[in-house]
Amino acid sequence: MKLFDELKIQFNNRVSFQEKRPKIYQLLAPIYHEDGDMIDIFLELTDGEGRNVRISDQGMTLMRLSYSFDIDTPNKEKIFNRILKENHVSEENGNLYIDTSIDSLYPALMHFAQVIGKISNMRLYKREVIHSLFFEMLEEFIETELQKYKPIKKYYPVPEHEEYEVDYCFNSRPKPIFLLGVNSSSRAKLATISCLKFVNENINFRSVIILENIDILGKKDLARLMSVSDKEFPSFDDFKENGKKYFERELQS
Amino acid sequence: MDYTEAYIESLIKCRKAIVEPPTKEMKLEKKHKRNDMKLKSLDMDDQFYVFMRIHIDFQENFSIGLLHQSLEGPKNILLRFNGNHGQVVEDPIKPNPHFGYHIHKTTSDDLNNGFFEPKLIVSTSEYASFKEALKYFFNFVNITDAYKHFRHIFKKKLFNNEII
Repeated sequence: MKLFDELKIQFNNRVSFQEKRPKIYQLLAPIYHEDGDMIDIFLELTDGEGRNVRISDQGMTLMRLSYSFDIDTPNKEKIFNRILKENHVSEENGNLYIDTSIDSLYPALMHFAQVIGKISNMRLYKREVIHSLFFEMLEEFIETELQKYKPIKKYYPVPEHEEYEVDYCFNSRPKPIFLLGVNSSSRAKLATISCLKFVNENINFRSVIILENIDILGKKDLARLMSVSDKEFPSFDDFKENGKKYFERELQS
Repeated sequence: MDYTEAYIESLIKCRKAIVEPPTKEMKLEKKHKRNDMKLKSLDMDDQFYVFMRIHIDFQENFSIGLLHQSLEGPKNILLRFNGNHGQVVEDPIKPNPHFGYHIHKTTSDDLNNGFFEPKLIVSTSEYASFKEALKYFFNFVNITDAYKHFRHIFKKKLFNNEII
């Protein structure tokens, strides 16, 4: 087929094609995901003359992404759609595709593979980045949305014991709020011990715990933490949604 | 924490029970069907997740994976049982492609470097369909009560109730 002959030349003969279903050919090219799986690219002739081609992934990219990441929030959808739009890739029921002509097939294929890589890496928004940025995001939120309550960062309620630290103190009222972020089991244990210490020291306070995500804690850690804290937000998203109103109620009363 | 091969193996092989069961039927989502479940180790505090995906048009393209959630760290994919979806290579820089059903397994190097995708690839002839892969997977990762939720892939022997 002329289309494939031309493409082979453009790829320096390093590609081949496998007819997976009638008229749908899988491109076998040295373009791989990090784990060694080949990036799924399919070619389909869209006219009788063989001049126009649809490059698609047959929905494989979103299937692969769903192993560990779901596009299940408006924000994630926005990012997903922006990547597609910026790169002139269309989507239909999960199938990502570009319609092109035989003359621009090679650059369109290279571009398509790059977009697949970008979509595949959306999982990084959840895992590495968001987990490691939890405290930075918490700080950013507090310093923008809760600034009017004059938060004090890194506060030591028992001055002679700096090992008991709270992430933020809001002391614009006689009974201050101690805010602690928790993104791991060890942070949960530390928050539990700290709250108990403050109680033992007869400090008048109200504790607010922001969990990065409730799923990251074991039942026992969660039970211990909930028994000593006054208020918990089960996720950072929940805190972003409801935290401001909570502080309005607490600190303006 | 520093991962070792022995620790990874212990995570894969520890006895597990289903705490959040899969749905009876796989759910259609875009161009694939999916099911998921949550497991609890019977030997340690750790939790595990299993994902099951199969493409609706290309049924040879499926994946069954085991994720580990420690109390401290992020979720990591320990294993992925894949169908025969196309070429696969051990080293994308020096590719020596091969086809076939294969298993991706994470290594201590992967996890200690923070790599999410399991890079070790082992070809397998233990399964040649999604159903066979499920059964092999459940036994491989030691899910003790999988037969309760996947009766269609486990059979009982007629006379001694043994599950095979």
